[in-house]
Amino acid sequence: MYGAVLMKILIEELQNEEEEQISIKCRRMTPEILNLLEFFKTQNIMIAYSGNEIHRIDSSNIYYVEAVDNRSFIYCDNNVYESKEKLYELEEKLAKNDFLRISKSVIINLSKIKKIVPALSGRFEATLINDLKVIISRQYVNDLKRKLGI
Amino acid sequence: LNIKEILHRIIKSFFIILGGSLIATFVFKLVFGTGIPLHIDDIGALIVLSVVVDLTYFIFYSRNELSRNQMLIRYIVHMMCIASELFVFAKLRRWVDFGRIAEILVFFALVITVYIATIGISNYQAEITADKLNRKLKERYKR
Repeated sequence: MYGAVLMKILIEELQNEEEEQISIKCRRMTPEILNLLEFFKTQNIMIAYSGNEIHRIDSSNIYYVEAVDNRSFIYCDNNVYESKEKLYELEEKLAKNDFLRISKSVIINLSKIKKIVPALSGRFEATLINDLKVIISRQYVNDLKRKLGI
Repeated sequence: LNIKEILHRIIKSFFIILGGSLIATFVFKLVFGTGIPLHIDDIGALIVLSVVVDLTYFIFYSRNELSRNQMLIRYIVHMMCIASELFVFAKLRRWVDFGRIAEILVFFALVITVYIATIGISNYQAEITADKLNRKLKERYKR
């Protein structure tokens, strides 16, 4: 079989504290391996727009995503980009990372939260590490608790 | 707040309001002596009063999320409704001598105290939740 590559796949279960990783052992970088790498690399990449420019944004750089008038905006440290995708589509994509829906119109990156304080009527206010403040709706507080294991 | 949240809050705060009312009644009696003698009828009236006061939470009903200012306005309206209800009850049950200004003022002060205490307890619970969330975030991201 021309081009077929037989490769051993090892999956090792880690303890909770250990960092998850993928290591590839190969004699040379074949197109198949490069494709595989590209697949893993693009898993966390979002395509967004700023004016006429197209940006590839690593999800770890996103602070939060907000839907305004049926348009989705991606907020990074200093920049705001627009995404062509709907909020629920972005939510599905980002769910496997540390993102969580915190109101009808906002998905937040939990790793960017500096602190949470109570707001009026059972809502909470999250201060992000760039000092922006975002409201966590009452209906989504339980989701946040569950995600954080409370 | 939606209907489910309102009902959840009504059930939760009924006991806080009833407890607060009993304490306020006791304080009122201590101050004036001639206040409410705690007969079983009066306790029944306090329970009815707590239910009536509790139902005013429907002021917070809204299909959409309320902003901070909208909430503040509703809190003020809510407090005024409760004060009105309590004064009507106090008059009907003759809990307060409306001829004496001091009694009216103390009664009003107790209403405000119970109201603020109820909000305070809710806020305290929210503070505990916020602390737990912050601690978990800290652990998760090793800050």
